[in-house]
Amino acid sequence: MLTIRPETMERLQRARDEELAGRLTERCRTLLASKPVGRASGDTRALVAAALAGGRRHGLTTELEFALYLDLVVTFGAEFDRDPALAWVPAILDDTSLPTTVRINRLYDVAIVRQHEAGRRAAPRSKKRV
Amino acid sequence: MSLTRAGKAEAADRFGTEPAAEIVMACPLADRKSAPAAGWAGIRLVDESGRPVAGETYVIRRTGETAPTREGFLDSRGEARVEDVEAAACELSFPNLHADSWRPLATAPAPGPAQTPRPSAAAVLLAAAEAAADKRPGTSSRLRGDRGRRVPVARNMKTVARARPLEVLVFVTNVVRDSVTRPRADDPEEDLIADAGGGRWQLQAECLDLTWFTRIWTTELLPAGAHELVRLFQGTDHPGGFDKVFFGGVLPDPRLRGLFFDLHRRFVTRTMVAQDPAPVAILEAVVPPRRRLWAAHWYIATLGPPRPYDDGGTGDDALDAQRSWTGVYTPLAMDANDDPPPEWRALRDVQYDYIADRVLKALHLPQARP
Repeated sequence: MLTIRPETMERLQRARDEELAGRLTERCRTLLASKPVGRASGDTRALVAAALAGGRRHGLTTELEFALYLDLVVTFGAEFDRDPALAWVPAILDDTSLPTTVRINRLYDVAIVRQHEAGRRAAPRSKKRV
Repeated sequence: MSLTRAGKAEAADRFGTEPAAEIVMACPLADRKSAPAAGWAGIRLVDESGRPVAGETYVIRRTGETAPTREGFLDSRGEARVEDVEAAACELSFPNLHADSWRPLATAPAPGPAQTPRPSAAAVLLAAAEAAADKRPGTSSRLRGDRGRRVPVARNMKTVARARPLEVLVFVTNVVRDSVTRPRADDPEEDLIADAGGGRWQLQAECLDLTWFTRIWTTELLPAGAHELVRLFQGTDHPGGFDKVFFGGVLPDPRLRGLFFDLHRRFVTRTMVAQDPAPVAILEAVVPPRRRLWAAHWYIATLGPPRPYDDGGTGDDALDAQRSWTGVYTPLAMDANDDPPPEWRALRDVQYDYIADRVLKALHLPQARP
């Protein structure tokens, strides 16, 4: 009988986890290199680990969900989901009436808008300084 | 960094939508064994100049319903493929776009002086009720646009081949005894080779370059009528569908996973035989008569460059290279204690060019090489 034993599955599982973490790390590096002005530190490994842990905490399951969550971690910081200044985050992220894909998608969309608004508010101040 | 829709779309290109932690996935076709497949819908959103609009959130609703049936966002090509959607009557909307800012492209109203402001974006709904094999002559799949107009659909989404490690569609075609000696008895991968009476067994695979196969599939097989191909493989009555499909390797492009399931649905679920948990599929059609294929299975694997294992490898380049395969395995229930039929061994020399040529000849298509 050809069988795949638990040890084999563990090894393959590990390979898959490492592969995903590797791709997330690559994405993280790209994100940080593109514009390193986010709140997150530059430790890509820590950011990916935080994204995986945070994502699992919120029930995320798919690769894409983790990738989007990583973007948010890089932008707002590893603990952004617990940041009192970002009260809109848990309001969306913890809405269990919605599937996780919808939650993370909406969160991302709202984050884009919030970031844009914050940028507009900051713009006149910086102009004054000049 | 700043978050953008483009960044979101780019993530959709690179990361899949199946559970990240799972190496064995429930086959999405398994629960459709008795029910007809719902089909899929494709969405493409372009701006006025025809450029794709990436990252836009879309919502699909059944006509007359308020709750979204499906919700997601477009990839960097401004496209999305939505599985399991009843293509007959759905409505598409983009919640972040004003209703007047886009229109169904295929049913654009003629411009006139009393027109409302010209939309800045347009969407094309692409749908296929089911695999081409299922399509009855004279029927066409339709979706309804945002304003309830019927949108004729006649195209499949393009599958875009992209630069990445060589991905191969692997048919396991044989079980070979004593063909390989493994370097380490305690290697977990050894489990994939059953030890029967002191001899070793190995799955032997034939590989198709997936990029090439994708091209052939989209440019030649589909236009030629895939139903012809399917017809070749009919004659068995297995209910079809694996319980599990394993993508343990690297297959980052969700579209390729989609292609796999598409092939899976078209061929495998139609051609499995009850007494043999293996899809006879293409190979049975192309091997010479009487050389019946007893074991074949679909796999997707990524054949990347050799890379060192964490145990440092064996020091033998040939063996290490062999171990660099990222195999994708489905649990096989195959009794290797039985002597393999001689027909298995007869397949040992089947090359994929030969397979491809036979398939193409059977379809009266031009011969092609990757």
